[in-house]
Amino acid sequence: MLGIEQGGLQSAEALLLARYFMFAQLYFHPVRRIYDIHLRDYLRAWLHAGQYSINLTDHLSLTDNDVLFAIQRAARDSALPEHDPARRIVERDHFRLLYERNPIDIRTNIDAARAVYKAACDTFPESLVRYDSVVQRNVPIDFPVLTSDGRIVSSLDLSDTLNNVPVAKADYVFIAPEHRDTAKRWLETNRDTIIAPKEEVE
Amino acid sequence: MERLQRVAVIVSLVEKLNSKGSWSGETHVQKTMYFPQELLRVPLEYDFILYKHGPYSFDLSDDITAMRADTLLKLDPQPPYGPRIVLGEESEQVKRRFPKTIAQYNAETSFVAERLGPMRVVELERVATALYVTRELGESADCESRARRVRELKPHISLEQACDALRQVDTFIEGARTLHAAHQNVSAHA
Repeated sequence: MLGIEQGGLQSAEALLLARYFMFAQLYFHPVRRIYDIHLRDYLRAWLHAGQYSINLTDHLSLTDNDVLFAIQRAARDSALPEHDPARRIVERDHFRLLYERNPIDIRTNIDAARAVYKAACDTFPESLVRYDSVVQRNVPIDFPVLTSDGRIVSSLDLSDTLNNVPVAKADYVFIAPEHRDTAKRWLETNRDTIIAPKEEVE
Repeated sequence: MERLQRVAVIVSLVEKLNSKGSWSGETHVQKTMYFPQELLRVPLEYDFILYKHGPYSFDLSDDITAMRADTLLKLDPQPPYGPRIVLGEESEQVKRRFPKTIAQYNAETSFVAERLGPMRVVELERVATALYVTRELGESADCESRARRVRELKPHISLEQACDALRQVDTFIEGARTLHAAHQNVSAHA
């Protein structure tokens, strides 16, 4: 956004709030995020050396159809190393949400989600736990506004709404569905100890 | 360096910039954070590229946004100008949890805040670009060739301004050497 006239300020507020809700409710939805993680796990196991080819011809010859076909095949063949993430995608057997960031825990420990992740890895098989942290990038709330009397001022000087547009952020800990109930009980019992901030070591 | 340790260094630097009367907009924080890493060997591990107004790190920009989400930092409107970055309510938590990291790099953050805090954005752009070029061509490169390179990268900076900025950077490099030597003396006697 380069700048706007003052008459468009409320429209700009509405757009930026809508963008925040898109991140908070859709892009950072935990189920969408865990499918990203399963897809990433699959690609790392399936692609040569865990990466897309940097050979131009090879790279351009790989299409979505090739990947989707390979996922279907791997989901049916338990001998393949990429079987588990492929099966979770195809059978909708994704990891379930164990913990998500919340303002109460953040006041105790701004890294509460990572603390839960580390403790969960010590208690359950590490390969069945995933951590995800994502933040909304580029939140353009400060832009020039041409006022009705011809001055150019910051949008933040004119709009209380823009001063309070939150930044969408999500921190999640996921666990395999077969451990979900046990893990939920474990977390309920140990939450306060787990998220208590640790003293800094050298 | 762990993410929260980097966050502690940023909190410490922003606090000192604020106290030195710096405007502390995002551009100020971006440019001043370049100096601890590239001049004073603070291992922040940000990738800086030369961008519109000098060295810029997208990773640092993401960290600053994440710190706003965690209320470690907040924007403070300053009519009729843009907002300043100031400490948010959870910054105290980081200061309590990472006293060793903050103390370890206290001299470096003070060094940067004292020298760069009072500068305006245009001055910061010049000295940060001058440091970028000095890192690129080496400290032994003469001032004239470095000034030419600054002008190649940022043609709107005059030759005189480029030379002034490079002289400032050379002074900072001398100061950084003294600081480093003092650190080594302390370590040797510890």
